[in-house]
Amino acid sequence: MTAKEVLRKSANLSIPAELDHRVRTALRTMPLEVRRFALPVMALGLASAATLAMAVSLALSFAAAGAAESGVPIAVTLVVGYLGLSSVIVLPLLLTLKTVRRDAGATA
Amino acid sequence: MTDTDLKLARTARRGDRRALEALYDRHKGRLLGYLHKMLGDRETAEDVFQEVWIKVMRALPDYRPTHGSFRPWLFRIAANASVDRMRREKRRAGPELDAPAGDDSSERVVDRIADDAPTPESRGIGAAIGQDIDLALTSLPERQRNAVLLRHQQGMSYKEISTTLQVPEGTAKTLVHRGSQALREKLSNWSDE
Repeated sequence: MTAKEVLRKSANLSIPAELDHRVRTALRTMPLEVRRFALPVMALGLASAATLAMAVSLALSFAAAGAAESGVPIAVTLVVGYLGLSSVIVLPLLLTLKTVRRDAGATA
Repeated sequence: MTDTDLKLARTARRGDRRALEALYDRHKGRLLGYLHKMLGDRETAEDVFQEVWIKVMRALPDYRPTHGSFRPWLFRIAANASVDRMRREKRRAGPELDAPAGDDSSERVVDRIADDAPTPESRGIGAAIGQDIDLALTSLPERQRNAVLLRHQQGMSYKEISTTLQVPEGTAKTLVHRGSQALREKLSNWSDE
């Protein structure tokens, strides 16, 4: 019998019942980290939402600018306000949602 | 096998514990076989086996099916865990085991212990070959031992070994070749090897 044959024979061992039970219990009960939102999908969604909101905001601003001479400052204020709000609210939200810890009860 | 693993791993990533358990059932025997030969001791192997599955649970959200199949990913966790354990054991045993033995600086005290083991003639043939292989394996450098086991025990392709050990495919081939050669030399008293 060659060393390779001996190694091949040792490739698959049976798991003692006690060890098997311990590992299964851990697999069934330990908190499982679950990434609910994939980062690229989130980023894409966020970018689409931001672009849409920006387009609406600009359209409203230019409509206002057409209606009155003071429209341009209003448009600038709206755009700057929108960007500021999105960075303050959306970014922390994005980071919070990145990984969601789901406890045992939620998935069992 | 790979497709099923990928499906199960994707489902398990979403928090499905039944999928995780199915993955465990598919790989448990081979994982323990690998750890046993890697660590050279059944009790330690069982301890690390348990650690590996806990690490799998923690690392599962970071598993990317696009970066390779599940088995190399699992065995990478196992390889890292076993190397960590061996280093911890070595530190606990003290530095003297790793020190050069005598004038020949290429030989360590730990290697000499392996060489002083009973000869095949002094033991039963069946038990002796298994023990000699274990001794020969434990005297190989960690990366060579890993590569030899993944190739000759687990039957992995060089691509899978390179993914598991995170080395280029050429390095994986070299590690397997050198490890096998060293193993052959150490087992030269077995005529059919």
